[in-house]
Amino acid sequence: MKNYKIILLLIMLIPIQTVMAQLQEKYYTSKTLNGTFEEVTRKVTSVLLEQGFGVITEIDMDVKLKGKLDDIEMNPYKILGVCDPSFAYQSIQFEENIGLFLPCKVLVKDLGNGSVEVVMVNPVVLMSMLGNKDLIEIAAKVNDKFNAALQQLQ
Amino acid sequence: MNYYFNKTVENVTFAEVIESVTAALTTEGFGVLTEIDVKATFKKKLDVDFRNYRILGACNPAFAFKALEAEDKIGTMLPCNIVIHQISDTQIEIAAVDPVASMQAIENNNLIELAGEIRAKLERVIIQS
Repeated sequence: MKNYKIILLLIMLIPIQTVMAQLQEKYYTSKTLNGTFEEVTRKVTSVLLEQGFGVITEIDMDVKLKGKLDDIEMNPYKILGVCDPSFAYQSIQFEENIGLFLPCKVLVKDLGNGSVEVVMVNPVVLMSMLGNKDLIEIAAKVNDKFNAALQQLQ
Repeated sequence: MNYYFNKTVENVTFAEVIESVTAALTTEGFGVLTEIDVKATFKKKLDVDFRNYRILGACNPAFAFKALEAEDKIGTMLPCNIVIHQISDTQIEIAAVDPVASMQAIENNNLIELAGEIRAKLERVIIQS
């Protein structure tokens, strides 16, 4: 009988743990690879495409900032705007101003010393802030695909 | 939670609104780095008809650099977006993301002050547009 109560208590704690895990979730996932900046950029673009995401915007932040600000040092830093049109279309039906968070951003950062970091935004964290269940559901699907793309990346 | 500020303008063309938003952004030190024609993208990729809907990605270089120094992965939230979309035949909504709200996802106190300054600028952009 005592064991039964402990098990029941543990079961009751599961939803609390899930909520805590969601709150503590990071706003990105990342992976560091060996290779040149150009090679890694090509690979990221290709694994994202396999998951259904096209690159619709591309900003070389280091080039932009060096062109505008004097005396700054910055390694190559690319911001890719990636989008799966059908997810975007669904999201916009649920929240008409969701374009404020589109497209999802993927970073390619040259760390120097021959390694390059790839960073993908975790859309679940932002959508959880908005508190719209339908959007959180879509964001979770997008995040799963981002994680799959990151795993494929070698 | 309110994650943006906005206003609705009437009896102006979509092109005129984009022009005035871009001009107001320039006044506040933002360049437009990206522009997405959502209507055209949906037509091309999904073959669906959609209303006029444009996403401008705006960036103030000095602030962006400070933000990147404070948080190296802040690029996942850049540039700041402004959405311009047709809500009826005569009405167009202009909305700008509230960077203070977005920064809540990141636990970094150095960003909060910067986000507040950017918010003030974007609020002025909406008023001036």
